[in-house]
Amino acid sequence: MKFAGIAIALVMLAGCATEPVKAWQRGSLARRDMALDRDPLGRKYFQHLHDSKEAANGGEGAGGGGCGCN
Amino acid sequence: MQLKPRVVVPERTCEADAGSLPPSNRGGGLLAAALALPGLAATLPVAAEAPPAAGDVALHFAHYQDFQPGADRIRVNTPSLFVLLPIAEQWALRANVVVDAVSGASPLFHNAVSGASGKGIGDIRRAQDAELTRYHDRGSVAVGYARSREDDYDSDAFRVRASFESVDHNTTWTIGAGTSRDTIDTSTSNQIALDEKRRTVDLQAGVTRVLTPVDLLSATVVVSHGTGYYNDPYKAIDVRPDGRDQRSLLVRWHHHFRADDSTLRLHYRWFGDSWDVQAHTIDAAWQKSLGDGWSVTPGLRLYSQSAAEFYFDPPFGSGLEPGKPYSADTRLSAFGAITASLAVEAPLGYGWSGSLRYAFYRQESGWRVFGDGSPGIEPLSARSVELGVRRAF
Repeated sequence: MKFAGIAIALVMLAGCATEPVKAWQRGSLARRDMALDRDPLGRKYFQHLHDSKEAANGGEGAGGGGCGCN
Repeated sequence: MQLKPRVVVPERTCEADAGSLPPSNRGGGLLAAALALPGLAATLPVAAEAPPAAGDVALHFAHYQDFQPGADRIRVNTPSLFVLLPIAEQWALRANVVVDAVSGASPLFHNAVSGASGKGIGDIRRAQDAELTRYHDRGSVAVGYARSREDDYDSDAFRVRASFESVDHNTTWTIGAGTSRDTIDTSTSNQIALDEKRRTVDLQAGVTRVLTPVDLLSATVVVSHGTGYYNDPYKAIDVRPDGRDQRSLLVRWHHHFRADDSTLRLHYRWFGDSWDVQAHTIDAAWQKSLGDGWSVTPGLRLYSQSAAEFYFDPPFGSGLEPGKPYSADTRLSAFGAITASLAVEAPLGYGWSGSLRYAFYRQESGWRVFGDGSPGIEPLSARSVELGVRRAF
């Protein structure tokens, strides 16, 4: 319940009303270094590296990819 | 699982966007203006809700080595390939293949390395992942399949994801689901696990919000329910529950500093599971543009976890009760970890760009926050070097 409350609060926070950003103001947002997944291979590698050494894993959604757990 | 707001830029935005940048950044302004051209902006990852107008290919090679005081452990060489292929204007195919060549030795329990007793590891993991996306006016639907094959571990996973944008394109909501079927079989080695199964179901919900012209905020919640075989068949004694429920919350904030042409990417993840593990991760990277396509990115990742309820501290066997879960796998102990990295990106000519990243990882029980770490565990260190090239086509 605690987790659900925090999650709902953050999701609502992310969707809360702010001054709408107009289309012509989005040049910076279109930059590659602002993208959430700017480097798919590097991100997957880094995630796999940490997942194999720590108990926590994932966080970005449904996946799958084997053990790699040595 | 990345969903971002569409970048919708009318023709008049070229002048307005370039003009909004400081004089010192007119080079970036030209880039921003170029990005504002219809079609070109759609090729960028931030425009995930718009079909890509161009393809993308990336090659990546990584070398990894970890070690403990007095003992080298695992070495992994990992070549990988990623391809993004636009299809018939409204579709896109993303695919990647990965090979992990693993050698070395891993612990039998706590810090006892199996290589010390002559039992080394040599394994190759081959994994493929493909995702097909259909784009609509304000959203997309994607289906994906991932498979992984090792001598002793096979995995097949399916996923589906849908996203929806608000009318003003400032907010994107995402829902997704996935399932995986894993088989663990060590019949060709120690015969501890014989055709054992594990099933997992994941559910995902997220929202991404454009806060300002230079701020992007994303929150993703994932819950997972798994049943089946979770033991590590290569540990001396390892008996884990036959199920694991996991929950995670990932918050990502990206901010661009126009004044010095740099971008901060700050991520926080909370993780909890039914094994009583709780973990916090803060991951920060600051990418500074040096002009002419060059950039440098220092990064710092801080991690802390509590121990699983069935992990027992040294000496080995202490706390072991017949019929009850028991593990001496230090990955389930309480510890903290730091990853420091430095990456450089550079243009290579003919449309190609290259990247080089070095990372150093260190794990120590005394670095746990919000409590004490597990006693009697040696620090673990690792270093990693990655080399990548990519090109749009």
